[in-house]
Amino acid sequence: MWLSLTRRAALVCVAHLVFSGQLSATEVAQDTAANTGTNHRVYIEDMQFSPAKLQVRFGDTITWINNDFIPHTATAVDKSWNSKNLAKGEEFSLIVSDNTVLDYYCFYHPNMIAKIEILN
Amino acid sequence: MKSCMKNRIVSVLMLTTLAVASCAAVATTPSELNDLEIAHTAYVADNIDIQYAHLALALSTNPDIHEFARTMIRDHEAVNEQALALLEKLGAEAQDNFLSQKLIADSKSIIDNLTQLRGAEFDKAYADNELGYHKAVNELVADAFIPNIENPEVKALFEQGLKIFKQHEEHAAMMVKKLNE
Ligand SMILES: [Cu+2]
Repeated sequence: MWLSLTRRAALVCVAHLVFSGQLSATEVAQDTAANTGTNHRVYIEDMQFSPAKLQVRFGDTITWINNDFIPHTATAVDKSWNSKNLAKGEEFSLIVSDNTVLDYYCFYHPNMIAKIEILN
Repeated sequence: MKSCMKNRIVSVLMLTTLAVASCAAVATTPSELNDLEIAHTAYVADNIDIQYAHLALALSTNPDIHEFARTMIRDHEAVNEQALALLEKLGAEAQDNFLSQKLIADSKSIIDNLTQLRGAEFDKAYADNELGYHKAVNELVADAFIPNIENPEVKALFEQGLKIFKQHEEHAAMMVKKLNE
């Protein structure tokens, strides 16, 4: 119990660092890989999130990669998490916790919608 | 291009120079445009939409309209950048034509009308125009341009562009619906 709580606290802390831009996406991905969680990739391609429905477990890391030449974002419907502008080739990572908002969209193209599904 | 070829053959057969002259005649329908004229028309169409967007940023106070306009500027500028890079790579220069000239003339009267409007009236007119404009240009790209483009790289860029502009059309439809609620 204590261990899992500390682990969650650590993950939240890492997520916070990503948002505040003090840690790069790759550092986070490596950190999680060392700790357990699976890394998932969502490609933003041809004006779509692919896969549009991604199944993960708590503690997994999701990395969004923009392959289009126009910028996109991956943004929670309530904006609680937000990749901000992703130019071509740019990435954004997020560690999924039990309070991660699962429905998201592209802030620039509101018809681009997708979701995360929790397997736990 | 194909009818031009046919004309040339006919002219040789008839031993007259008349048909050769008609061969050099300029395109009068969208599907007769060559790749470079198509590229130029698309470039002009992009710039017109960017102009509308700047007008919206200057005249509207609606945050949804602003966000949409910023997306139009961001995306159409990106498409134009790709188009220019491709033309440079191909060592080609875009060509002015009847359609690009018509688009510019039409846009002038639309801009004149839009600049007279303020508030909700402007927002509605801008959103309606964006929906209609994207619809018209998307039809042109899908039905007249893509089937007639000869260069595969130019064709690929237009196919990518069409996916982006279809998204814009849906976004505009959403905006129109919201403004009418
Ligand atoms: Cu997008």
